Amino acid sequence: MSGTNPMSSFVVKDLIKIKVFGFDLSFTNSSLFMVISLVIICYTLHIWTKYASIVPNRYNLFVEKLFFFIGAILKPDLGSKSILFFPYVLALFLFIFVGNLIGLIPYSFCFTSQIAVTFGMAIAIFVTSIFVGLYMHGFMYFKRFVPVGVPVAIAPVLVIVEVVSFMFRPISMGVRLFANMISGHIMLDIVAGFAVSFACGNVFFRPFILFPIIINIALILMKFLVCYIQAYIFTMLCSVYIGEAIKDGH
Amino acid sequence: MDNVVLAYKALAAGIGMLALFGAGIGLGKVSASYVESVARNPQAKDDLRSAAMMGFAFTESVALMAMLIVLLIIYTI
Repeated sequence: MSGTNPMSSFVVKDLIKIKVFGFDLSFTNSSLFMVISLVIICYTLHIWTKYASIVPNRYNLFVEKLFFFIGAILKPDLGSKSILFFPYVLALFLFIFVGNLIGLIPYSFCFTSQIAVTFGMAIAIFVTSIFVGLYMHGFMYFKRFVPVGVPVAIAPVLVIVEVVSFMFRPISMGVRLFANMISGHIMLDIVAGFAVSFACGNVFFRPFILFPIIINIALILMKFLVCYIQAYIFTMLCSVYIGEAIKDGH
Repeated sequence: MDNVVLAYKALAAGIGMLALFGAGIGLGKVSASYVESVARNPQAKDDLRSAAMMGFAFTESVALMAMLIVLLIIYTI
């Protein structure tokens, strides 16, 4: 083992201290990397679609494919309303995906490994789905908590169960992304620690340093897949929840 | 005294990772049914792959929640 704390790369540090009415609104390294990822997203999308022509070049085609991909996520759940939520879901997907990828660069900061960030995004989706449901169905939206066709005697119990499972949606969504990111980073740290302890140890064990390094390269390749899958699942759950709110209400 | 606390923390973390038992069974079931359904209908492979990936990610997140609690035990309490 390396002997260092593997959680040390997730510490939020204040870069610029700002205090407004007793609230801590400091500019941290987490916010710095969020700004960097936003700049990357906006700049690449702008540059890649700037010279659009009738026959698209490869960069135009990439952005087009990305738009079709998000559209394919939204279409089964939202149907004709998918164009309304398209910008939100596209922004969400790109923000999470680029944030996950930035976290893989050594000595950078993975802001999706902060539970405040992921939980904030999940809460935003949760509140959006409730407001959409109330807007579409009015007060009848709350009928979704009453299961159809159950005896009156056990209906109150089922209502409580439904409400609790509904409330747990943002928690499971936020914790899924956060735990996936943090576990991958800790795994990379621990395997790299094996390499360090082989290097510092007995001379005869020095050649074995290759094994942790090869495993680490394989793990980083797997992390690319995890980054993509987690961003995909987050956006897909977002579209499922909002689509449910639109369809519900009996 | 401090060493005793650390030892019990390590023991608790090890016991907490027993959750991997269930997650392992779940992952095995997901991949088994994926392979079985591809063997039955090879044309549906692409549709099934995304569904299987979703299943993997959902099952994996159960294990990761257990890992979260273990990390809390080791580093904060």
